[in-house]
Amino acid sequence: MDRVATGVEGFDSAIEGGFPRGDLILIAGHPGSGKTLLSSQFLYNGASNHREPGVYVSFAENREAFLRNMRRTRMDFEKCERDGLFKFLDFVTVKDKAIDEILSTVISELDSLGAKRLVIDSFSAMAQAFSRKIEARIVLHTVLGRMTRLNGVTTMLIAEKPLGSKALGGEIEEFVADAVVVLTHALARGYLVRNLDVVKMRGTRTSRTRLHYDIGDGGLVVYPPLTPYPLEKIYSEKVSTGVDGLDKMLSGGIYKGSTVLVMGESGTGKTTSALQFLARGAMNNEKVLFTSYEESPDELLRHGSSFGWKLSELVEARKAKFMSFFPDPSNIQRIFSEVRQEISEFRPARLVVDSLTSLERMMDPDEFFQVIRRLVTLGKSRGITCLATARTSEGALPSDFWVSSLADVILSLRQVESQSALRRALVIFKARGSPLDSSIKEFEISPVGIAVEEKFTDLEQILSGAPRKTARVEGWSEAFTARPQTKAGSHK
Amino acid sequence: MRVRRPASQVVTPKSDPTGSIAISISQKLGVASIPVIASLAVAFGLFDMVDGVVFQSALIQIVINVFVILTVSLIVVRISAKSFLTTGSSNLLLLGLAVFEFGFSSTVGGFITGLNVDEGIEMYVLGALVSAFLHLSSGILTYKGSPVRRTRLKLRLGFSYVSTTIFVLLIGFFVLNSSFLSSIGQFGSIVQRSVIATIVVTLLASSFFFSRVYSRTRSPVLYWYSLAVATVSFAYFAFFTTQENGDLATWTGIFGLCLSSVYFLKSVLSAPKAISTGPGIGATR
Repeated sequence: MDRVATGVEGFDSAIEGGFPRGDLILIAGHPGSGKTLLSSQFLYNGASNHREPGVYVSFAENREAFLRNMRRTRMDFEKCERDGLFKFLDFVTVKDKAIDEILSTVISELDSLGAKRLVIDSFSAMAQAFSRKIEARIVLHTVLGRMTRLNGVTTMLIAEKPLGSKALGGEIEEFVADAVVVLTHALARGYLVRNLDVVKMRGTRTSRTRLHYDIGDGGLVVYPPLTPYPLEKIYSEKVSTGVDGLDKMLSGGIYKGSTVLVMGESGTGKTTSALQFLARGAMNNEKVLFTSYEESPDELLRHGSSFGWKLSELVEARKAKFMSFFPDPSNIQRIFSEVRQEISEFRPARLVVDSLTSLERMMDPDEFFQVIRRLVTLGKSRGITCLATARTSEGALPSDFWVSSLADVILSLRQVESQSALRRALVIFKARGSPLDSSIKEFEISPVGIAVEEKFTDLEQILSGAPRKTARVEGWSEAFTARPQTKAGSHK
Repeated sequence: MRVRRPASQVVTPKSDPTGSIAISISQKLGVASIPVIASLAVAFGLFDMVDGVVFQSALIQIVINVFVILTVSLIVVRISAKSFLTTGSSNLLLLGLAVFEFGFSSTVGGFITGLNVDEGIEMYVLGALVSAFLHLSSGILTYKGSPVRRTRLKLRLGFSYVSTTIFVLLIGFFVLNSSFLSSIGQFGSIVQRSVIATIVVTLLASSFFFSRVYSRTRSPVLYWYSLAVATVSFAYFAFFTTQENGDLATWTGIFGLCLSSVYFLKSVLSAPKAISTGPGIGATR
């Protein structure tokens, strides 16, 4: 099937490369959702990249305003006009012209230009000229529909969708059109989130999930959703976590391509463990990618250098790459898109996501779960060993963090208060397909990184969040290690 | 790394409403046992008040050594080892080693007695001598403040106990295959009396250091521990007075050792069962 690419980044791939040639496409959307921009990109892409002439019929803004706005998005329609590849038909001021006359003019211009693309902005405004709905339907179906199909002119009709309304335009276009694309926006946690739904597209298999898009300097950018990846290969080789003591607890490390979830309160050493995981990989000549959602790359490099890990050198040697994002609901899909692209290009063997909590806060729970699931399958399918961190409250169990079911290995880091000091505890809750040491071990963030020490012998009920001193041992220890009294103290 | 242990909590003694320290009846009875053993040892050993009563049984000695002395010593060793792993305090390691040395050498001595009484006694005495010095070291460190180890605690612990085990076995081998110190096993010999006297004095000294710490902390753990060490000391005093193996002074000493095992056990049981440290920082539940 001959397809007409829109030129909108990320959108064509979601609709099998473009719209079928000669189709009538309804672009409906909220005010300010980018309908004009989308249709302009469609025309400009045709003219500049495919030398397909296009006609823009405007009932909304005049030529000057249109060209001025398009210049801001780096679309030089004036050049297209000079090259005979674009025609702007301004019907804003022609109020008394009969609809037949307008259509004749449009058809005439299409013929004279040999146009292959047409945009009518907006059909909602055009339809106001019809006294009855049936007339609009006839025009749509017979005049525009047949004419464009016969001549292979792919036509975009723009329909205005008032905020809060469920209807699309005049409620007839959607039935006549071959494809319906709806652009909407909504507020999420104080941020404007833009959504694109391909409601209908004849002869095309489209994404079943909602697409998100953004309006940037170059126009619309659509972020296709992460898709589940087929698990074609299962890896049986193990890789190091970077912490020798932890590898020992995991019977030699973690399986390549598996996902490790490191849970813990703030300050327990999650980021340090992630950096150590990454540093070990890079030192083993693996490519590693660190995606941070809380700290900047410079902060992470400084963090690593404090443990003697020369991460800057690894970055310069292109063994390690640090990406930093500050997610909000409006940019979260762009972030995933960038990460996915980086994974495709850089092809890391290890991936760190620090932290999931920052992402979770900016997403709907279902959407978050799907994204994590797809990231996990992406890692598994490509043999990328992932380590993700998650901040939890004290005493939290894996079941409290509901995406934990997706992880192959769950590691929990805890802070334990004992004898007026903070100690750190580590326990492995889960390790799929691998025998593990389930004891609660003490660990230290030493000058060379995380070092796992001995099992806790003096405290129990650590996981409950309210540890107790182990029976008898502490009383025995205290009796024999009481500090000698000073002379000053002995007066009391 | 060698660091001093930070200030630890002192076990709060039980006190009555007037503020004076309450001592339980069992504690009073315990301390009363010391003069009883001493009196019996003097009466049976030095003054031969009941002359001619001799009963020898290697089997009973083996049973007592294995089921009483060794079992209790292993209980003390276990809690001391755990305490050392927790605190890294060297006096706890020495204390555990002292009790282990005593219990293990007594057991080995019991089996050797089945083969040769004098060699068995030689084994008992040499084991007790080493144990007494280990106790004294532990007592001094407990009194003065013990150094604390922070690294490779398991390694240190394992090395110490393996070394002690090998050492005891070597003594056993030496006792069975050499007559160099055979006079230690002969009752009434000058050498034996000198060694046993050293044991008595050393154990009394270590008991003194533990009791000094008790007077400061009023910990029932230390009370029973110092009493147990003192009881072992007086049990050996009874052996010091022994004229012939199996006489009443010998059995007074054996009774003293059994009683000391009870006191060691009391010391362990006096340790508080559990002390809650309360919820940690930022606890939400």
